[in-house]
Amino acid sequence: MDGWEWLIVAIKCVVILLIFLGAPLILVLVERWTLGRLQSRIGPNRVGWSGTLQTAADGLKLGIKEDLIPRGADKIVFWFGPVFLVVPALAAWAIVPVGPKVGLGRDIGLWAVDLNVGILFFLAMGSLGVYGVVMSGWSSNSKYAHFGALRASAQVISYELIMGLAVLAVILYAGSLSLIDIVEQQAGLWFIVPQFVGFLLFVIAGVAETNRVPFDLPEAESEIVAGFHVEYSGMRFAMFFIAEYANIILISAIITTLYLGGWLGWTIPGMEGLTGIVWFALKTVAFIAMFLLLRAALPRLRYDQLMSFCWKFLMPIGIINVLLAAGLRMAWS
Amino acid sequence: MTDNLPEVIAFWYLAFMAVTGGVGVLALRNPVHSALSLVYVIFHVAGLFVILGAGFLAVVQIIVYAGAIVVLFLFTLMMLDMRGIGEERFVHRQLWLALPLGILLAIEAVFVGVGTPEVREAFLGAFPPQTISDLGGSTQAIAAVLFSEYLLPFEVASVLLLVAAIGAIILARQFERELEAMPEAAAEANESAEAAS
Repeated sequence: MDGWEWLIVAIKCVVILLIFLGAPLILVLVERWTLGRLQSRIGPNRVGWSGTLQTAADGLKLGIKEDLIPRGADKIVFWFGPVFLVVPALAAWAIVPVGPKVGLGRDIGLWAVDLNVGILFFLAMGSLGVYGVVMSGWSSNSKYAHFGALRASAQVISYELIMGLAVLAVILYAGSLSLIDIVEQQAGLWFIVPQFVGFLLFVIAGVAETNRVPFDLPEAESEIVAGFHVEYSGMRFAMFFIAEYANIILISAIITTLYLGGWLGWTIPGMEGLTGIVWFALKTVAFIAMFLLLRAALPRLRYDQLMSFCWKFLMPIGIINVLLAAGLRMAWS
Repeated sequence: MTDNLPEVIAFWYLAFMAVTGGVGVLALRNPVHSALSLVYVIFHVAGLFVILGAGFLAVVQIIVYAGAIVVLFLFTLMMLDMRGIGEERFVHRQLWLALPLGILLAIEAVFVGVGTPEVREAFLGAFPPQTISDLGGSTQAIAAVLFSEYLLPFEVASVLLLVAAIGAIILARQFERELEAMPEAAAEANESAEAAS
């Protein structure tokens, strides 16, 4: 690697970081506006024009609040809990391709790194997210946080399997673990068509992995106050928000990449890079909107429903789906 | 070892951190801290796999060990009452067995590390870097061996795991059925559970 390549990688990393620090500000606001409308109330409308500066003001408030550590808490683990939630969500972005290769003097791929085990890296980072939840829940020395952490670890381990099964069928079709190859394989037909069942499984598992409604039992406010992050305050509490929204954006981007052809779409000749980014952003935003609307549309599941839905309903479908995909692949080749 | 300086630095960093974490697993008094230290070791060993060019092994290491096994350790540890657990002695009575075995392992490591070229060749086995890149990468190389030469052990292992899973379910169900068969015992169990909480 020469100096320029290091510089390009550094710029990509900075762009990813900036998007993640900025996106929750916008998403929280959009979510509160939408939920307000859908629940026949006004929503934030005081700070700035129609409440546009509401999350900025909230962020400032959280930043200058005291960082409380409860008595009897395990300080080091309590400290690192939120870090373990944010870091995997950011690290997984390294492999997401937002556009094709563009030529600006040299060939630059619109992704941070092309790992030949890309999709497995995403699954690995997803499975690490549960540590943040378990560490913050256990170390808080509070029964509500403890229950939240227990629920979260059981839920994430179970739904990870569904996600893995859905991804397995995509890998069978694409014949590669690299996300760039997976997108390029969809040039003729997006994988949502042959893998519609897998797509539904992945979306359901994705909602469960991000602990969003209707799978938000780890932080069910009417049962266990706020679950695993009930004892946190100040900037550490804000980090849970950043992690939650970073995960929503990440899952939406991965759904786009695996099933909706990533950056593929109609292009203007000579501007493939730009149109690629626009297509990718449009598809991703559609799924982010789905996440926000789900919250207004669905009630929360009961815990036994959550578990039997995963193991007795989704799991057999996932296995049959993989077998069918493998059979179809064998018949074709 | 190659002359590639970043790789050498990365190796010593990862190796040092992995060993530090390993000491942490044994020496830390709180079991949860030990489990987290184990995650730390797993990470750095995954890093060692990466500089060996085995990206697939590195990722699988994280998914299986960090993502599933240690999470289950933590899940169990969180249910336990931790008071008094940290007072166990660090140097255990199994030391007398562990010490000779450890020395034997260290001798073996030194033997492989500084041994003759033939010994090193034998440990590299049938998969030098050239063969792996000819097969199309480490993922393909693992698949090629696992599903041909080691197919039978692989299938036996998967059946064993299935048996273990079904066995665990049956044992748990049996306890449930026994409680149902004896109404008084069930009532007693409920009472004692209430008394405990």
